[in-house]
Amino acid sequence: MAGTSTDGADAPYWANLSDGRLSMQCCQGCGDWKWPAVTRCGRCGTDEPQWRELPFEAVVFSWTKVHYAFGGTDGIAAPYITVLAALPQAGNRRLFGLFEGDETQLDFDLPLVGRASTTRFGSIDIPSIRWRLA
Amino acid sequence: MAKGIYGKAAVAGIGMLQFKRGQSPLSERKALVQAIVKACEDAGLHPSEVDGFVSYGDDRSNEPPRLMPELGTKELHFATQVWSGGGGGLLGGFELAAMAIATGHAKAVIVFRALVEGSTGRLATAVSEHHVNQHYAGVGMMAIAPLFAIRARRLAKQCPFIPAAVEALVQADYYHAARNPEALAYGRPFDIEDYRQSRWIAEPFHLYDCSRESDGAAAVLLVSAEHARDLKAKPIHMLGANFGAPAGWGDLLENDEDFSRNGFSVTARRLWEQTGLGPKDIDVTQIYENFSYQSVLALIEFGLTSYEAAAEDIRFDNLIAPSGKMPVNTAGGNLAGGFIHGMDVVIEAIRQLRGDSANPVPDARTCLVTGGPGAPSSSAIFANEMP
Repeated sequence: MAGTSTDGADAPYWANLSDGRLSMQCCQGCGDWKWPAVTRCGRCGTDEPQWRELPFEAVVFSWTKVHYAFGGTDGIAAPYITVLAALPQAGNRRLFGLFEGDETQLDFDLPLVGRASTTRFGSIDIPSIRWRLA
Repeated sequence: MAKGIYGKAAVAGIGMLQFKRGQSPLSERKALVQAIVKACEDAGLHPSEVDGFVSYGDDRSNEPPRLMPELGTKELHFATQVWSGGGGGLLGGFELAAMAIATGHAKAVIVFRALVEGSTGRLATAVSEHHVNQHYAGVGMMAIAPLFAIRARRLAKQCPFIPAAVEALVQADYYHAARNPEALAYGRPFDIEDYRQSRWIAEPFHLYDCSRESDGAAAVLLVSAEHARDLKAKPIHMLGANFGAPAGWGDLLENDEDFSRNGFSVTARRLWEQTGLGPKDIDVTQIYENFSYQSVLALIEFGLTSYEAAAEDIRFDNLIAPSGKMPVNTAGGNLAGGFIHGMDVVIEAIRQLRGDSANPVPDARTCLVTGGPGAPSSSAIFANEMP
């Protein structure tokens, strides 16, 4: 799997999420929120943009209900819903998560709250977010 | 903008072998070698004269030096492929081939793609492996279909005309495929209710929104325009081809700028600059389709219609040959014709301009071909005479 290492630019994200905390990168040079994580801000040239802790609060940007059991999803029983959530407190950068709760109410731009969880993938547990409607 | 490759290279031969997925009687290597030999025979050029090879989409099995013993290659001068895991690189391969020919670095270049599941596994798996990382694996996004489905849902919210346009495109693809003996859906009656009732893959994608992955191989032989005049087949000129992505697009964990667009802006603009042509000069279009929703946007982003006029223009009767004003995917496209990672649409562009299409567009002189959506992407214009 590409980019699975935990020593890449996003290592703090994984470490914090494993600890139940959400964090993303915000450039101390220009204030731009960065996602995916980077080693250098392409906008202003600052090295190593800082990590900031965020509340698990977002709005629904989009989602899909997956019906087909794609390989590698054994740890998630199909059908399941994956949400792409925009974080207003992080420049509306988007993060994935699995949706839990009442899907009949799911719609664009509704507020979400999240929690840290894990997803079984092969022999490992990958930290991942669960979003539900606020 | 340099017009350095304008008209410099021409397609002199094509070869394609296509089978249902998982049913190729040939190994991937054998299918590829046969496709290359077919393309050379089509041109009347001995396969040993081919001195350049280009592929795209993470071909990990068919490194050109390994093909040399089977082709009898006399000299190899050029062997490369385009970065990007999907079909975004499709026409970038033709750009590279034309650059090599225009600069004299190679004389006869094959652009190819080969996929045989029994030899190298599913294409969908290979493309997923290129893109998928821990961020995706943790939320069940293990394939490109659900990723593009998330984008598609947002696209449809921002552009409410899209679902109807998608139905028109799918219907046009199946209409053309039903009349094309080489299409996987040849002879298959297709009703739009078949589409609507088909099973969900990842909402809003039904089964028929997804490309029909094939087994097989396809090869296109390019030589200089002068050389092509001396060969057997009618030369099809390459007026322009390029590859690229605008700012705000890339492999960005679904943080690409705007899902109501598809990152085609750079390649579209450069194509018109390279060729001096505009959307009104295009007689027929072949669109790379991984999934229907994103692909239909190509018609807008390349200016064949607009966001405002799309609801009126992207209608079934407008999209079909011979009578439509904006004919697309005249072999059935990747949804209904077949999918050797998009090479099918290039092969059809050449057939259409030679007058050999199963669904001919009367007096077609130019054909636009667009690459995989979601930047980087690529595009090209082919013509059966120099404008």
